[in-house]
Order: sequence, then C-alpha cells, then structure tokens
Amino acid sequence: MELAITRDLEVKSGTTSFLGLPLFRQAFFFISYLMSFLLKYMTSRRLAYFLIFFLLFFTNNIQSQVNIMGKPGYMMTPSADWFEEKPLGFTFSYVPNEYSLFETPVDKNTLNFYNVRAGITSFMEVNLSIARRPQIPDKIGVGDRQLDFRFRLLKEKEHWPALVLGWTPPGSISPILAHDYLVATKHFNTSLGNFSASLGYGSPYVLVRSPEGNFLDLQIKKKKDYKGVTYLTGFYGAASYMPVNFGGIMIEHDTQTFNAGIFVKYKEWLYLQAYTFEAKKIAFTTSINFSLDFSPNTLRKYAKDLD
Amino acid sequence: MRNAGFENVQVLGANDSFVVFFEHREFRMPYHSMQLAKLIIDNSDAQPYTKLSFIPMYHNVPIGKYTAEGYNYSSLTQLETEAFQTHNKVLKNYRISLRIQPEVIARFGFYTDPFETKFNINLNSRIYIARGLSFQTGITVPVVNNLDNQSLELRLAPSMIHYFNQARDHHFISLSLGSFYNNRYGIDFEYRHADLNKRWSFGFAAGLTGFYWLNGLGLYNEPLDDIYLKADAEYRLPFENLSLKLTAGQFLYKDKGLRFDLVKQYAAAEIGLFASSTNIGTTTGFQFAFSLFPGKLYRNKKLEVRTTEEFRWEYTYNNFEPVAHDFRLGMPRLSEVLRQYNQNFINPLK
Repeated sequence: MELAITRDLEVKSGTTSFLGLPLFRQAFFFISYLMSFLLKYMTSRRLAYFLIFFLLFFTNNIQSQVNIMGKPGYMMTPSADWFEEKPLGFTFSYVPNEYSLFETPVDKNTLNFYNVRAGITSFMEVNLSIARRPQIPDKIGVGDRQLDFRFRLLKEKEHWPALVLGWTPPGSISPILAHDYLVATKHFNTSLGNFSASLGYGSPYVLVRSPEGNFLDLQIKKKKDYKGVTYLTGFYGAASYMPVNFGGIMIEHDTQTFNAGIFVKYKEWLYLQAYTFEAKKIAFTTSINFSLDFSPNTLRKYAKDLD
Repeated sequence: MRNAGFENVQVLGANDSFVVFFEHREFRMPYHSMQLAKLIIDNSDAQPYTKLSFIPMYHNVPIGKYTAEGYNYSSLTQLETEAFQTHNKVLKNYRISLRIQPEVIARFGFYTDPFETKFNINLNSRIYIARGLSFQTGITVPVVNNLDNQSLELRLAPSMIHYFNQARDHHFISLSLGSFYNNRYGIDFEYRHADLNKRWSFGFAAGLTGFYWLNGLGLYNEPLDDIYLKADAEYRLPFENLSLKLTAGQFLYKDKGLRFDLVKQYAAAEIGLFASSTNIGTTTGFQFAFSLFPGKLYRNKKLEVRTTEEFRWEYTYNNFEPVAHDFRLGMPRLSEVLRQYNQNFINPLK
C-alpha cells in the first residue's frame, strides 16, 4: 500500500527523479551511520548480540513518532496512530523560516512549537500547541496558541486501517493553525521490518470568529484566502519504514511539499526526528511520551526491595 | 508500617480478621497507601489473616473501610468508630510533616514579556490538633516573578485553620479560616454528599474572602467583601475513570455563571478539561494534578520531609478576564479528595 502511495505522490509532484533523492539520501546517511557505528564500536561478539537483539525486536516494533505539533504522525502530517499506553506527551519542534506555517510578513519567521498531548479517553485526545517565534517575540508575543482534539473513529484491524478525525474547536479570531482532517493509517509488519502508510484529507475551510462578536459569531472562509494558510489543505500521504527497532525513515507529502526524514528512539519514550523539506532545509522534532499509570516512587522502591 | 511513612496506625481485630487504620500523607491516592500497607503486612511476620480491611484516614478522619482483597468500600461500623475514638492519639501518633510545594502562576501573551510567570516554593506543614482540626502554615520562597510587582522577599505562606469531618456517613464538610492561595483571605465552607460506592455526588461551597498581599512582612489587604456561593453535581461515568461535573453559582468577583468539567483519573495523575461561561466572559482550558517526584526525602520517627502529594495547575485560554475564578486552600477541594476514594475508581486499578 505504501508503494501505491509513493507512486501517487510521484505523479502529483510531476518530478519522479526528485522524490527519490531525499529519501535515498536520508536512507543512505542512516545506513552508513549505522555501519560506521557497527564497525567502529562492535567486536564480533557484540555484533552477534546486536544481530540477535535486532531479530528479536524485528516483528513487534511499535512506532510512536509525532509530527511538529506533537500529534502521532510523521513530519508535518498527523497519522491515525494512537498511543494508548502513553497518554501524555511533550514535544518540541523546529521549523525553518522558509517552511513556516505562517504566511503573512508580520508573523512568518523561524518557528518553534511547544506541544502537550493528553489522552482523556481511549478515543479522545487533546493537544495544546504554542507556536513561538523566538526571533520576534516583541512583535507577536508568546505566539499563537492552538487547542485541538483527536477522535479515534476506528481501531486498526488486520485488513482495515485505523481512522482518526482531527478537529479544532472554532472560536479563535486568528485560527491560522486550525486544522480539521480525517486520516487512515495501516501498519505492515514484515520480515524486512515494519512499514506504516497514511492517507489523509485536510479541510480547506476554516471558521473565523469576528473580533467583536461572541463565540458563535463565525464565518466560513477558504484557508488560502485567510492569511494565505496552506497547512493541511487537501489530500496528504505519508509512509514510514522501521528496519530496526530503534529507528527508521519516513517520507510524506504534506499537501504542499515533499519531506523526508529519519527517527531514532531511546527506550520507547524518547524520540528524536530530523528531516528535510524538499531536501532544501533541515528541521527537527523531539518528543517524550509516557504512561500515567505508574505507582509512586516509594511504592515502586518498596516492591523492588522485596524482590 | 511506621517506617514506611504510615501514621496513626491502629490494628483492630480478633482471630484472623483484622482492620487496620492508618494515614499516609505522601500519596495522593489512598489506593497506593493501601497497596503499600498490604505489601508490608504480607511480607512481615505478622499473624496470618483470612480477612483484612483498611481504613485510610484523611486529616485524622476515617474515610471508609476497604477490603484488602477487592478494595470494596463500606462505611465504618459503630464498633469500629468507637474503637477508633478510643485509640486515636492525634498529637502523639503523627510526625511533623514538612512539605515542599511549588506554586506556578503564569500568564502568556503580552508582547513585551510573553512568558509572565511567578514561581514560588512553599515550605509548609500541617499540624493536627484534634480529630479533623488542623493548622497549616509555612514560608513562601519566591524564586521568579515577572508577573506582578510582589517582592522576592521571604513571606508567610498561606496559613489557615482547617476543619474537615465526615459528620455522618457520606456527608463531608470542610471549613477553613485564614489566608489562602491566589491572594485570598477569609472564610471558606464546603459540604459534599458522596457515597463512595455510588457514581453521583453533590456539593456546595461558599466563602467570604478579600484580597491580600504580602511583601516580606508588609501586608496590604482589601476588605472582606467578596461572597461566593456555588453548587455542583458530579457523575462518574461507568467507563474509563471519567467524571463529569457541572458547577453553577456565583464565583469570585461576583461573577455568576456555569462551569463544566470533564476529569480523567489515571493512577499517577488527573487530567481535566473545562469550559465556563459567566457574566465576565467565556473560557476553556485544562488542568492537571499529580504527586511531585520523588515523594519522601527524609523520614525518621518524628519528622518527615517530602514533596507535595498534589501539585495542581490550571490553564485557561482567556487569561485576561477572571472567568469563573476559584482559589485554593491548603488542601485539595472536597470533590478532588473524595474522587480518589471512590470504590469505582480504586476497584479496577488492582
């Protein structure tokens, strides 16, 4: 399925040769880094252990990358993944000026996202993002705040993808970051590693509240006509591949550009992601996601001492 | 058990059936203290039992009886209440518990200074005087303040006399007198009807408060003229530890309106979403509460130093207008305390 999407993306971009470049470049860097690491630091015995370890975790990798706004996803795009065991997440991301989500001269600048994600139920999640522009706080203040929800419509089944609806409650007088979308994600665990593919559609319309009016004084506007917003308007697609249990590669078309990147995870909860926009600019995202069902320190220590 | 932080431990029982009374102030949830108590009893050379129950206390007041096997709740029997009253030694059986409690007040948005924050560390202690009656005081150590012009000198932390009781089964009251958080002082009263077996609970709260401000030893205060009065109903949904709560009435600053809360309880934290609509305006936001890591820092027979059992923070989208404002006491509000004791919450955790 991810192959189909890739081809679909190629057709859309109209430049088949261009698509392969960032992906292969990223993959090449990733693999060559891995190889040099293996050669440099591993004795043959260690290498054997590594390979066993590698094979052990081959088939049960859980992917939990997030997008720039801390939602399960790839780079710019959200997926339909659901971190059921990790209801709380904090994410920081860096987006270069050229690919900022803001389009007006006043607020377009290097962008930092600070995000919190909290699962309220097994089918509803709330996200808060602050879009800080560290170079111009005197002009825009702390940055735009974005509060939105994700609803899990379908769980992933063997022959059926997971389906998630993302919704931004209307009510903002400046809903530049607002986005509403429907996305499907399917995972494929193969002997070559784990694949995931997502296909989504983001609404090209936005509800804007008039500054003087109350919460219900809303107007439907086309996003493009509203401060030139283009984030997640239309169809988007993304895929990732995890050949090893601690990292992988990903590629997406975020409705505007093609992006490709790598991710590395540490102990299931820390993710580092780096990627390029059209192989021109580098950006990165780092996130921690964890469980809220643990016991207090004292209790854990006591139970541990007993063992 | 005492070494593990339990206080006022009393064992009542005959043959192989025991009831253990205790209080444990380090944990936010009674589930964790009961779990620890069970671990300790099972791994000690105490007499074997066939039936074991716990009676956790809060502010030296027994809340209810929970079986150690299934954590099933029941109210105390007459005999248990009498036995507790005879053996309860409120001054002797408690440690001095020093609590480190950070306080964060933040406002985002002004262009000149986007992250306006006030960060204080409160070192405080609650001393139990009689059953349900306690006194809380301490020192506030201001660390950062670019929110307002309150000075960074040490000052007296919110100090109050507090009375908490379960007058009759399922009827809880809380009365506070003194200086509170959020710069309020005065008197505050709460009542709550909460059968800890049931999903519904109801409460009302009222208070007469005024604004006060301490700069080191200097005190500025406004008159005691702000009345708040509100009632609420809370329903615990039969799935996923979710509770819905609707509060209506007059909030602080004579602001009349409604507030709706959706609260999700996890074993390690509580996350809530809310929306309120009042005379002043409309807002939405979220709150969360959790115990601060690591809990116990130092403990001996007479003294305990620990981090706070509950750090709570609320974010509201409309941060300029005080929509449906509330203030905090030295203890969580009754609904927040009793939610943790509900059998429907504790039962599925085991």
